[in-house]
Amino acid sequence: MRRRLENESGIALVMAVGILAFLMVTGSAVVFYAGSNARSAEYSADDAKALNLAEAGENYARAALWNAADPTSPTTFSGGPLTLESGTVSYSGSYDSTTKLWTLTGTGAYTNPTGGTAPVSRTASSQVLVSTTGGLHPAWGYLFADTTSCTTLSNNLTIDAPIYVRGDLCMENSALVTGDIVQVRGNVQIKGTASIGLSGTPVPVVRVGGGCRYPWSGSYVTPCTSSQRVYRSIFYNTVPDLEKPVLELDHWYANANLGPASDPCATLQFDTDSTLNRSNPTQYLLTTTAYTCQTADGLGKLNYTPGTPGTLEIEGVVFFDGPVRLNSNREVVYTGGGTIYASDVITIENHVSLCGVAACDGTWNPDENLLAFVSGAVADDGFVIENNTTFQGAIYVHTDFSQDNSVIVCGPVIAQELEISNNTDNCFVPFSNGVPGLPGSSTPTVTLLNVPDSFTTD
Amino acid sequence: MPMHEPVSCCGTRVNEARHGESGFGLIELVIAMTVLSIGILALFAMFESGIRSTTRASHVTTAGALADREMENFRAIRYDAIGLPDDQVLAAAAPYATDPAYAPTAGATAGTRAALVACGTSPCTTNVPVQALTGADGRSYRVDTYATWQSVGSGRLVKLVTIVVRDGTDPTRVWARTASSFDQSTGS
Repeated sequence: MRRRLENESGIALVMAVGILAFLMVTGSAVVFYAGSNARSAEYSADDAKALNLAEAGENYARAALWNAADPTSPTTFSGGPLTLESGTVSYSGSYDSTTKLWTLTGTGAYTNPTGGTAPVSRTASSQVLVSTTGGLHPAWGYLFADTTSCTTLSNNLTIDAPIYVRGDLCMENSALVTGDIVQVRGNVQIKGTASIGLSGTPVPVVRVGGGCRYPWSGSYVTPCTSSQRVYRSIFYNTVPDLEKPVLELDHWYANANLGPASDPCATLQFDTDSTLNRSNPTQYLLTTTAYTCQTADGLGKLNYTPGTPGTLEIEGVVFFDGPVRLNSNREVVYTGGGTIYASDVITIENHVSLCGVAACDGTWNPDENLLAFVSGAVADDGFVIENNTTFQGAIYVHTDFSQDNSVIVCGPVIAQELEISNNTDNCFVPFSNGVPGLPGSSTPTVTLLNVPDSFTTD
Repeated sequence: MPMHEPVSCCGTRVNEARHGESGFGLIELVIAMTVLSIGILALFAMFESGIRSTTRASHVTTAGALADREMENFRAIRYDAIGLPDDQVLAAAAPYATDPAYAPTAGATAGTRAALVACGTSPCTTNVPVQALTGADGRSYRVDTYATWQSVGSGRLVKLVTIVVRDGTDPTRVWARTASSFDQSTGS
């Protein structure tokens, strides 16, 4: 036994095999590491290539969106998969009508070089804003007075809305203007405790082409300051020349969705003699009985249901060749978007509430629900709103606008003269879409804007 | 190794020869050397394979970085500056024109070359079809750039940029290729 143990014959072979095994394991590890490194490099390269393809896909989506006739419809689209540089590209887009944002997504994929079943896939996305511009006349951003004489604001009133006066602005008693911008092409004269802005809350921008004085005497000075009770942050002595939109009464008499030329209504009467001559008797739009008045194509609609509140559905352009009156303690919430033309005086009075939202407050979104009144009257006061009345919407008056006695109007008013007095409030909610028939409005131009910093990858 | 005295009996001599270990160490050594040589040769082959893989990984990584860098150059410029000087494209050395990304004609329709008509503002002048670059690994590479018009289903034309990174000494060997498209709205 001992001799066998002491015998070294064959040990060289054993050692050779052992050393060889060790070297083989080491070599295999090196080769495995190198192969892994190579696969990792391939994967990394494919990952970068997939990201480029993802961006390509995102740009495909962008190209499709920019080419669309109406970029808001449909609200989703997709394309691919397409083969590009041995990889695949797919793309899609989804639209959020509330935020008016498109989210565009591109996905690039390559076969996994490491042998895995899941491909090397990257996704890139970004956002595009749908901006509607050019559809509205800029005057719809103001309480707009076209007269060259003095627009007088008196008694206890607050105008929390942008105001544009082509002539002079005269303020007295406790009249207060607090809108974001005040533009007066002529002069401003103030007396009593009236003011533009307040000392603690100045109006951001005031433009006065002439000068200001306090009280209504003495010489006008410019720039206007708190000495003239004009509290403002920025003052300019130049005022852009805005003109009152043109009223196309003849056109809408003939082409209104609901009117003398298109009359499917049993209850309402639009005209009496097929001539634009203000011959129609006064139409009471808020009555005790419901009415339905709409065209077969649905483009024209004026449906009313009384209640607390009642409802009024409005779509398209409605034309009455005569006066229109809304009165008698009606609380009504309207839905839809449209314009009611009257060739004569429009009156809203006596505890009427006509709003675009049930709460009748700042939650109203005029880009969702907007009712516009257009008065083509030749009488001095073409639009009268008075006596504890509230209205949310837009108003255009060929002649003068009269508002007094505890009235709240939220929205733009365009008139020859603005006559506002006695415990009234005006507020403003800007809108961008407009409604059919709004004077001065053209077909809206839709613009697509890439949203900065919205690009993401994963 | 033990030494034995000669014996008279033939049977005894055969037995001794059978159990004798003379020269056996040399045979063992030869076998061991042979096995070891074969093993080491295989090992060298494995090492060489590993080195090749590592070198290839280095090439791919460097080429991918070069391709990405070149693509970023296109992302940084205005859309109307994306294109290539057509005279340089036509004069580009082989194998530029035989690549699948090459468009045989210039124009403004799908499948044609996006020719750079006016350079506009910098850095569009750096857009050249063939560049000789040195990678981060110290090796030379050739970066071929292709710009063509591409149609998108129900969309408008986009500019497709393809980057092909070739070996600096053997341009037929492609280390990396990547492509992306650019829409007009992304920077006109």
